[in-house]
Amino acid sequence: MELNNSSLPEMYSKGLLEEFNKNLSPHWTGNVFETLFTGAAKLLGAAKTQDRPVAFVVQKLNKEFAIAAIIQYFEGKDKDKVGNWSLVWTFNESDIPENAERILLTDPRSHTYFISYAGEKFGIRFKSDENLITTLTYVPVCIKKWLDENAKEKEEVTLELKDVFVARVAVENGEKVFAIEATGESTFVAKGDASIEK
Amino acid sequence: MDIKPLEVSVKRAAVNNSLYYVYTYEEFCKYGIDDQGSAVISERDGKKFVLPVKGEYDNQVSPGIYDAGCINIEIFPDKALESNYIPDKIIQISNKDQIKTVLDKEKTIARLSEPWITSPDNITFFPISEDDHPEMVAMKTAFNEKGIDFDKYASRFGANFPNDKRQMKNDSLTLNMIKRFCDKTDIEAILILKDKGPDVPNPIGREISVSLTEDYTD
Repeated sequence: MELNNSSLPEMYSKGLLEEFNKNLSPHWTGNVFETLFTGAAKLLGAAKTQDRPVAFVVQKLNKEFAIAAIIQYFEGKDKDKVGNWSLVWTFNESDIPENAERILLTDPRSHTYFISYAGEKFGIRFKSDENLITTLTYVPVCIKKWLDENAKEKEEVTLELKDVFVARVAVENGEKVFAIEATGESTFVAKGDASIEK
Repeated sequence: MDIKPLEVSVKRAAVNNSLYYVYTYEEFCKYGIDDQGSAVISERDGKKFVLPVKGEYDNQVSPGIYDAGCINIEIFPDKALESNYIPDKIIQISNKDQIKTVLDKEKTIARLSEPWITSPDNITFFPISEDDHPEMVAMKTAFNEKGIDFDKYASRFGANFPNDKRQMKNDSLTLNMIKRFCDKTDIEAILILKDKGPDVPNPIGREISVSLTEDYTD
């Protein structure tokens, strides 16, 4: 299901108002979601290092884990061959490698990437750091909530924002299994070109 | 106890033919400024724009900063109109300024609000706004292409010259003002009446052309 054809924009707008007293028309949902994914990719593209994985982590306001994006370098099989960068999004905190450097959305140093992307692409300016954190934190919360409410037995349900992300839920042995991956521009923004960087 | 006086300062700038109180984005958000005589400094591609505060966002396209709930929406001008939103100068007046400095700055601000620009060699230029109606665009274009010092024509207009000149602040002109401007600046204005297209009902069938300035009298 394409995000803009789903009930998610209404759910996002209503939730922001009811839970956080933030007024934002559903019209802006896709733009805010894209800001989180592409802004995070730009942040990881700038912060990545071949020495260890780097994880961008979004926590709910109660500090509960919401989502993370992890960038990691894998050496080439032969010494003279360049390796690959991997960018993974996950709803499971246990997927973050122990040696990963963590960058939280609440860290003001990360905000510049979201502010510049939202401003340049959509003309959006957050009214405060608190608004930025709340609206972006609520993105993965809402994606997971939508998947949870729309999960079906024996059928994988997908939610897609074209060229930004695809999220999935499947019911396996009676348990809902959630997955999410970035698509489009954000993937190569984060990875860059390993052969140039080496 | 020695209490230092609080420093109060305001910034003024003219963009798109209007004078605004200017704020940084942080000041704009912090003080919840929604007065439409205000504007916000915003940078894009290394250029500092002054975007007027426009109120609530409702799919407008006019350059400015709009309120959309917990976010603001900035709409920057198209390339062709960029210069209208980049002020020549931003004047800051503080209560700590000397009185002479304040008066000088007030004079500069008054000049900023004029909708025309005078070059060092006294050529008057009327910037064209996206809101200008066709007749105003034509009038401004004609004056700009003549490359004149508009004030040198003051004696032809007579005592009403300042009021006449102020008409160029508007975005439209009456037929009478077009006649007056053209007559006083040696421009012939021709009115042509013709069918809108070949298939209109009850066609005139020809062009009717009259000079509006030939027999003009005040």
